[in-house]
Amino acid sequence: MEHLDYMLRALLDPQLLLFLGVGVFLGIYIGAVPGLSVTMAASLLISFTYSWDVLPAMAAMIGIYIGGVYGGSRSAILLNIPGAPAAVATALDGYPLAQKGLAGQAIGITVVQSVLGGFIGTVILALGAPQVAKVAMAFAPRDYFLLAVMGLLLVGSLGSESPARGVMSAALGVFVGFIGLDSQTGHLRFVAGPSGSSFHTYMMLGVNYVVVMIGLFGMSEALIQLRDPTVQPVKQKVDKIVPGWKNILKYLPLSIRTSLLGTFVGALPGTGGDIAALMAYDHAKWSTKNPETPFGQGAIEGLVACESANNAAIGGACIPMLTLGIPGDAVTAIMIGAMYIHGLNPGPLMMKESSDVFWYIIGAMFVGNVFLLILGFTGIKLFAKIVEIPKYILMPIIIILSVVGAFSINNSLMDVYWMIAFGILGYLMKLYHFPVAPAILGIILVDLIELNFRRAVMTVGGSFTALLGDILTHPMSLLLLAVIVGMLLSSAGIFKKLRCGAKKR
Amino acid sequence: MKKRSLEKGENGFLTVLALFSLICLAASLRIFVKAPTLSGEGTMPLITSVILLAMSVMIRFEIRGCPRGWEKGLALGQKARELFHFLFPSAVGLIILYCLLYAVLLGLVGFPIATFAFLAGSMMTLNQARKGRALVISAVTLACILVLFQFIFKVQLL
Repeated sequence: MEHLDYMLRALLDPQLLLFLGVGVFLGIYIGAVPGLSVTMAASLLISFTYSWDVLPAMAAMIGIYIGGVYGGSRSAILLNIPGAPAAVATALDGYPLAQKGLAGQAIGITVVQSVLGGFIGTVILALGAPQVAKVAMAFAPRDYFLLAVMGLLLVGSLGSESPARGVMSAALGVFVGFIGLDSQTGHLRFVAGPSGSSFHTYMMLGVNYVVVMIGLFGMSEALIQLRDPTVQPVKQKVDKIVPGWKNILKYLPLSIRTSLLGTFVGALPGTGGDIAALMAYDHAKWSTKNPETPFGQGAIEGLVACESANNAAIGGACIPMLTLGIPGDAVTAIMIGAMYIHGLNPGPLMMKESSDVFWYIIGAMFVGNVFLLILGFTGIKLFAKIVEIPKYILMPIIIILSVVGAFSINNSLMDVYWMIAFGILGYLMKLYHFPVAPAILGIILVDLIELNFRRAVMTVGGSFTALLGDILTHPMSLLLLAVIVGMLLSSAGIFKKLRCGAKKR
Repeated sequence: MKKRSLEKGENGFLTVLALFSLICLAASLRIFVKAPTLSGEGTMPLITSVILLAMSVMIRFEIRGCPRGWEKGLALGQKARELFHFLFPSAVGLIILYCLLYAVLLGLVGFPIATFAFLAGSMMTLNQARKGRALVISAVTLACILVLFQFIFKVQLL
C-alpha cells in the first residue's frame, strides 16, 4: 500500500507532474534534432538540478529519457538520420514509408508502439526488477560475447542483395571500431599520422560511432537524393495519424514479444536501446511470414518491433541502475550520478533505504508514458511537412544538420571531417549496392564482442578449447550458443529445405 | 545474388575494397605477431580482416557472368568521362566539393560565415532561379541553428 502511495505521487503532485510533462515534451523535440542526444540533454539537466529536490530532478530526467528515445525516430523517419542510435532500425522501414507519403502514419505508429513498449518495460521493472537483475548479473563475459555474435548475425536482416555484401559492410564497421587505444593493453591500433599531430591525437580516441552513423545515413542520403534534384517531393498524407485499435491489436503479439526482448537486452549492462531495437527488428523479420510490405521497403512490423523494443529498454536499463547501482546505458549512468548528488545510494539497499524514490521512479515512468501518448502526437503534421520541402532547400539543410550533429559530440572539427568522409563512403556504398546499416551494427557491437571475447578467453587460461568447454558447461551460454546455431542454420536455408522436403514426401 | 548489370566503376570499387582488406590484414598481422595469443590485441582485427578479404573474394565470385557496366571497346578516356558522370550527376560533384570547402572554411572563418556560405551557395547551385529566396532561407536556418545549439544547448559552434 505504501508503495502505491509513492507511485501515485507521480500522478497526484502537480509540481512533479509538471516537471515530468515538460521533460517528456523537451525530450521528444531534443531527440528529434540530429546532434542533440538524450545523453547530452540529461547531462545538461544535472547542472540545473543541483539545487532541486530529488523527486523533481528525477521527474525531469525520466521525462527527457522517455521523450528522447521516442523522439529519435522522427528524424529517422523523415530525414533518414536516426536522432539516436536506438533509432537506426527505425530508419530502415520508417524512411521508405515517408518516401511513400506515409510519414504521419509512421510517426503515429511509433508513438503508440513506444508507449506500449514503455509500459511493458516499466511493468517488468516494477514486478521483477530483482529477479531480472539476478539473471543479468549472471551473464559472464562469454555470454556477452555470444550475445554480440548473435547481434552480428543480424546482418542478414539489414537488407542486402547478397549476404557477402552485408557481412563486408559489417566487417568494415567492426574494423573502424578497432581504431584507437586498446582499452585493455593501452597500445595504439591502426592510428595513423605523425605522433603529436591533432589527427594522431584524435585517432587515439577512436572514431565516434555517432559520427559514422550520421555520415553513413544522413549525409550519404542527401547526396543520393541530389542525384536527381528535379524529383518532386512526395505529398504527405497526414489525415490518419492515430493508428486504429484494429491495427494496434493486429501487431500486439509482436509488440509484446519485442518489448520483452527489449527489456531484457536493456537490463544487460553495456547494451541498450540500439542493440535491443536491432535484435527486435531481426525477430520481426523472421517471425512475420507474409508482411504486407517487404521489410526494408516500409514494413509496419519493422517499425512496431524496433520502437516497442527501444522504449522497453528504458525500463530494462533502470533495473540494474536501481537494484545494483550499475548503469544499463549512458543515460542511466548520468541518472546514477544525479542520485549520488542528491544523497541517494542506488544499489541493492535502495529499495529499503529510499523506497519512496524507487517507487516514485516507477510511477513516473508509467505517467511519463501517458504524457508520451499525448505529447507524442503533437507537431506531427508540422514535422511531416519537412519531407515536402523542395530538395534544393532540404538537402543542404540536412548536410548542415549532419555537420552540426557530428561537431556537437566532442566540439571537434575532426569529427566533421570524418563525418564527411563517411558520408562520401556511404554514398559510394549505396551506389554500388552495399547496405550501410550493417556497418553501424558492426561499430556498435565491436566493444561488446572484442572485450568480452578477450575476457572470456583469459578467464579460461587462453585456450580456445577451454573456452568452448566453458560455454558448453554453462546453461546460459549453451542456450545462447544454441540460438546462434539456430540462426546460422535458418539463414543458410537448411530449415526451409528440410521443410520443403517433408512437404514433398 | 540476382544477376544484374554491374554499375559503372563497380569493379573498381570492389578492387579498392579488396586492396583495403589486404592493408587491414597486413596491419592486423603486424599487431598480432607482437602478442600472438587468442586474447591478444591483434586477434580480433586479424579475424575481421580475414573476413573482409574473404568477402571481397566472394563478391567477385558472385558478380561473375553479370553484364558489365561499360560498352565493349570503350576507350579509357571515354570510360573515365562516363564514370565521372555516373558518380557525380547533376550537382552532386559540386555539393561534395562545397562540403570539403565548408569543412576547411569552418576552421578558418568560423561557423556562422562558413555555414551561411555553404547553405546559400549550395541552394543557389541547385536552383539558380531563386537566389533571393536561397539567401533568406540560409539566414533563417543559420539563426535557428545558432539559437538552438549555441544559445540553448551551449554547444560552442566555433
